[in-house]
Amino acid sequence: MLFNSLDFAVFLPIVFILYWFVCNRNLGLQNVLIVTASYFFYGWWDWRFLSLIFFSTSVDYIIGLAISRQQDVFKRKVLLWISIAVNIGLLGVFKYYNFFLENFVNAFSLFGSDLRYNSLNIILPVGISFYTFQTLSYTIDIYRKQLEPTKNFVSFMAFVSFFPQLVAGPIERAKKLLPQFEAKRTFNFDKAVDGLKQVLWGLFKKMVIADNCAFYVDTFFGNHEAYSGSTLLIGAFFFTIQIYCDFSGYSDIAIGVSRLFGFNLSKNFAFPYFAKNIGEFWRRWHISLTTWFRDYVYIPLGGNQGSKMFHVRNVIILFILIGFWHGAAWKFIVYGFINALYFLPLILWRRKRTDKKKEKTNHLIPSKAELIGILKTFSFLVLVRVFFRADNLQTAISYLGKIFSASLFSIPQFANRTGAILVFLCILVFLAIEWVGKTNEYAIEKIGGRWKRHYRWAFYYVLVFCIFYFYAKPQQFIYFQF
Amino acid sequence: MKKFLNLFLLFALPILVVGCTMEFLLRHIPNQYQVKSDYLNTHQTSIKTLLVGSSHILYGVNPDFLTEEALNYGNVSQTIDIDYNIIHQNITKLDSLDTVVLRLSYTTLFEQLKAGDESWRIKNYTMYTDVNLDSKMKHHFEIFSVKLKYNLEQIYNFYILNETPEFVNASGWATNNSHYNLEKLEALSTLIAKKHTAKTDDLYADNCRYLDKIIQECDDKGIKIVLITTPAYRDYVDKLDSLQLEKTISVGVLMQNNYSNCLYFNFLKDKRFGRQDFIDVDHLNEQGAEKFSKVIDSILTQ
Repeated sequence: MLFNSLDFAVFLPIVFILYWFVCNRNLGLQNVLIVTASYFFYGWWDWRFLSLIFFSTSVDYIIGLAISRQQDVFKRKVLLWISIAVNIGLLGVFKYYNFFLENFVNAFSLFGSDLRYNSLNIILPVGISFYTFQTLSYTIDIYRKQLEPTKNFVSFMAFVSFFPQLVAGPIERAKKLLPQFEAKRTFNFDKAVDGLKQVLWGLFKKMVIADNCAFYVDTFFGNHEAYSGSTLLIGAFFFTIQIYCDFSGYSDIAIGVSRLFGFNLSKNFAFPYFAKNIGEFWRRWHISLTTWFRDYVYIPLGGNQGSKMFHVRNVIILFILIGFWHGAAWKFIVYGFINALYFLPLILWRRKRTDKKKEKTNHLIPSKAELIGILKTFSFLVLVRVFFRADNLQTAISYLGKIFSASLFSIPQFANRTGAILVFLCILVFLAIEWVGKTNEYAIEKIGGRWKRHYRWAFYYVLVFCIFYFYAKPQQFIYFQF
Repeated sequence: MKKFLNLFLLFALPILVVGCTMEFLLRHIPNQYQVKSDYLNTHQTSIKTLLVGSSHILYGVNPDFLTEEALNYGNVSQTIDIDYNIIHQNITKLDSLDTVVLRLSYTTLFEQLKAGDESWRIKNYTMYTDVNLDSKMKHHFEIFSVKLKYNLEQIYNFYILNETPEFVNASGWATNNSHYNLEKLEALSTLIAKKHTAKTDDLYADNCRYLDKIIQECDDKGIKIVLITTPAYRDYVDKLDSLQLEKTISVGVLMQNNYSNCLYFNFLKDKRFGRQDFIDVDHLNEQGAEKFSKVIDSILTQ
């Protein structure tokens, strides 16, 4: 079920009413309702894959309890590796099997061996990368004795399958989310209103900005040979905006919906396109994933301890894994590697992290250095995102080659020039709102806070109108495929 | 909680009122689906020929030129899965039905409405006809199926400017009011041929099954079926993918060979139809439709 569908618009109020009016006196019943609603929400897309979630949930629930009861270090480690093997195994089969097989066979063909193979013709279950990482962190934290396992299977099922964040995150840690399922929830008016505002903003980002950019992005990336460098550059720019609005829009809706049910999810985006360098960007982009890799991969590898070369190695591994997490294709590996390369000067010249201090200042006019940093980082992202969007590595290289051809200086070609200009204007307005609200949880959090109600509501009605008026052909959220 | 619900309802109320009003207004704009559905229900005992298919049928065959009473149940972007549902769900109601004319176009075996960009048209079947389709919730509402911008235009055109939508006569044949520049037919041929050529043949087997089921059901009821590939502009035909075209034609021939109640006629390259008979590269204009309808009539009356 998509957040931007009529089905969800019907589903959400029903669950909300049952949750607060029918099950409100019984915590267990509320959790059962959440599990049922979440499985229904997921099953609406493809019920067959519910068994995968249930399997992953059951395995990690049992292993979590077993690890905590086990005192023997070796046996604890074996149990942890079983959990890792099961979760990574699921990802391996459904996401990476064909990639590894194909590359293995290609590698052999270089030595003259012609291996025959059968690739698996299977669909990638929606959200598998998200919920497997979430359950994996649970068992690792128990192994590290940072978390006590829950004995309540329903709570654990709710933690794994919680519908707002099931298919595209934020990837929550059990330490933060699980206790919320085990504590009594009371309805909070301010929190609920705030949640609705965040949902509205998320829908605006997704349906007005992202889905309208999608039309041009699909056109240009689908047939890049036919367009000039300047047009393709605009296509890359549109995609950079699209992916941010699509994914952060999803996160906003997820966080907002959770608030309606009395839950707090982690912030997943902190206005990443206003980052002044690549390091800062990755601390602001898909925060729940980058912190996951930081805690469970980068730090265990040694992090920034040791020599510079050791640090460089860890950063390269980290970025390649982040890239590879997005999909089983060389283009994602290259995407991660280029990000790592761009990150390396920050390590080699040991720049101090000053961005945190600057973030606290709520200035409307950026300084010259700040503006240059933002533009430089954004320009890099526009170009490197081509690897993310293109069908494959060859297409990405060809696309970039066409951008840097003489036609870069020609007038861009559009089938629907007025439409493109309108989308561009929407993007400018959107970026301006984001800039004004950049110190808040989400851009419109504080907008209208001191206005009279009818002015504030008028602003929300404008957003609602824009959603209905500009909404293009509904697109699936990009991160569903990961 | 009470305060929250009250405020939420107060906020949502104007949106609901506007939405319901628009839905009401949109549903009361005359449309060809309603016309065809009404005709079918009121002429159940007298319809002898049912013409089913996409815009090729809609614009191409005018029942007024047929000897026997007929209904043109062709619609823009109607695909064979929907053709099947129309025939399957109405075949028992139509007591006098003698022949079903079904188009077998270049795209017929390679597309389905629900899988394409035109899927919003499903709402026309769910709301204005008795044809039951496997549809999403949004396809039961005008306002959720089409962009607000177009809905506002439709309301403005009909209620303010008093413009009627596309003309369709009582027996379901329609003319397209848009006038293409005939000089550009050559350029248009390449573009449309590319658009009509399928990227994959994922739906081919499924669509062949639908065709087979249609013919089988007609056979069981003793109804003749005439498969037709409608005429198209020469340049367009030359630009079509030979493999896709060959697959389509061979299925038509195969059905004719396999079923005694089935005849297949391929008019794609028929020289009787020239530039002056087309609206665009693959749709007949009023004059072309008259000519083609008479050809079809001669087949039906043989």
